Amino acid sequence: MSREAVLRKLEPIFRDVIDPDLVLSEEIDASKVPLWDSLKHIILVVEIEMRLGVALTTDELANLRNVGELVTLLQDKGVQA
Amino acid sequence: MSDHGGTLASLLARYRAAQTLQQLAASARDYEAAGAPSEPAWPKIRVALTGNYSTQFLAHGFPVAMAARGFAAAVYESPYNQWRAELLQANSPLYGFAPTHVILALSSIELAYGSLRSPPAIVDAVSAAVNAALKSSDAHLLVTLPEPLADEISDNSAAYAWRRAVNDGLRVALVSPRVTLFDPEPLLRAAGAQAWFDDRFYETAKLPFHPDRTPAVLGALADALAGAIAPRCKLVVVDLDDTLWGGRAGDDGFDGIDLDAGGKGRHFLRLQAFLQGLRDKGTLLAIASKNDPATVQEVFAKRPEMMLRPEDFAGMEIHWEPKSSSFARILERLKLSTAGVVFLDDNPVERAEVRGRFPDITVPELPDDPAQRVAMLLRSGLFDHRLATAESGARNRMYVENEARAAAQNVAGDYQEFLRGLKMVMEVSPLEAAHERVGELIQKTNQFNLTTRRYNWTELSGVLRDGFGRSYRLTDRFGDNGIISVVAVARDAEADARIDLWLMSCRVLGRKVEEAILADIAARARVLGAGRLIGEYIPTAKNALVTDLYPRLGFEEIGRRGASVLYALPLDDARAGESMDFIAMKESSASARA
Repeated sequence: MSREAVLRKLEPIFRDVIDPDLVLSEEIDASKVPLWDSLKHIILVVEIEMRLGVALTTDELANLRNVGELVTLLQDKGVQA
Repeated sequence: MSDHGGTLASLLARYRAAQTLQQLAASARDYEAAGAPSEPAWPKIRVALTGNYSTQFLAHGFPVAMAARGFAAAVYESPYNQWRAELLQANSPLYGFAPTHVILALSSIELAYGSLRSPPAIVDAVSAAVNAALKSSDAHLLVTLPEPLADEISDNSAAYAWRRAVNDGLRVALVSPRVTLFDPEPLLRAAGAQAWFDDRFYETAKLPFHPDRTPAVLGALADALAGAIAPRCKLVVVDLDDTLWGGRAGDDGFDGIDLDAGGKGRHFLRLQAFLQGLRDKGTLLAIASKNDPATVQEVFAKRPEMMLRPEDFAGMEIHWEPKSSSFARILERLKLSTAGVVFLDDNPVERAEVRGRFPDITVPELPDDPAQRVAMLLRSGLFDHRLATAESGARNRMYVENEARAAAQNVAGDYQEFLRGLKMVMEVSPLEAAHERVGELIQKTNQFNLTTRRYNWTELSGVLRDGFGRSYRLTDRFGDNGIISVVAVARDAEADARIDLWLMSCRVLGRKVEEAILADIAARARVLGAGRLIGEYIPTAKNALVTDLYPRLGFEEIGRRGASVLYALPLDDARAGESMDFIAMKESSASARA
């Protein structure tokens, strides 16, 4: 699945959980989005797992602060359209 | 209804529908954004949440969760794992918040592997913090017991022993009217280990359970808090026959009732154990039973299988009057209102009588099958899940109790309406052939039995040769009670019809059934040409109940003969012809013969 397609799958999740007005791009990370705090992060992870059907490890969970890395991770895990 | 009303309803609906953390957080956010609306009548509480794991999601959801339960809650959240500092220091921000309620949310993970570890150290630290809180504030405390560790689920006996030691220690150390203990284990069991445990979230966010368990945890804590403020059930009033034991003590005797743990008696014992559990949690118990007090005392004294003892009951109303009168007396004596009172009785007629008189009392429709009753009561939501300690004093109450009801209610007028509403039909049949139920009643009835003659059919036929016999079967709105009375009338002399045998099931006492039966006997005797009815009463150890039955029915004492007391009622007496409009009499097709 292309990086663009993964981003498109992620955007509704980010909008639901973090900020409805968010425009998702690979450069975005938690430090740039005030509403992306550690609480939201938990919910984000849970929603990604549930909606995209993937399982993330502890390390992956802890390190996911950058959308670009998240897209790579999801590609590696074979997220489907 | 103000503009908030509609908004409030939809906000609460959104909260109640939340199944995941995402949905819960969204509903909490919306509730907050709407200005945390509440109804003016709701009690206002100030809840401080402190613990040893990430409690932000719980804190964030608390206002809307309490709003769904009718409380306006302001919430303070301690910083992560600061419970000891916040509670031990008298001038901490937690106390500065002036909480009315403090929730100490402790997870087993931090306790087991953090700095405390050993059960004695944990119990000491928690006691110190709780005692400090009791001294430094007026708040009521809700303390969570540590939940099972993941290792316990895979059968690690050490983990279970650790938690058992901590829980036992806390239960002893934290006994106080201002402390309520909350056990999360049922939550975990309901969710299942797979759905509960997810160590990734403890590692990254110090959440001891999967984030999507948050709505259930929040709901249970909110229930426990609401229950601590206004306990749902304060008093359970129970019937005895066919409720606490199988059968009827008056008819079957103390040794004949069923408490057999190997058979159906087991289900009555389960209900007794359930009630014991409620009592241990501070709920009061009382008895309302139509029975002879001496017989009941015999059961308690001579049946070791009984789990409940007389001293477990705050009141015992054991007599033959309507049960609603028992409730009036129990409530008055215990100074309770009807709020939070539950009545358990196997008999739908009794349930209807009490419900009709006291609409506020909760009267569950107990399943006919005793095996299903405890499960039904557990599911009913009537009884708190928490481990409770004794009631707190007035200072911590957010509600004002209603005044206790007056003792003397005018039962008569309403009772007649109740009787009419039962739509009783009595089917009358002649005693002409051996009938199992009739034989059983003759042999077993003790209390409502005027002469206690244990006839066999040959003897009975001898009595009936010149007289007549009747059996009476009663149906009402709730069903068929079967044959409830047997009468045999003898002709000693041309003018006299003597009631040689009259017995009745106590289950139908107090419904004017005796009067209806007397009217039927009198009508029959008149047809046969008798001038007066003779009533005979032979006192025994068990039939004190009917000592004054004949005088009550209008008979006059005319003398004694051996052990018998004799009474007479002239058959042209108006009373003998009185018909009872509560009960429709019906001759069965096989009768209308002398």
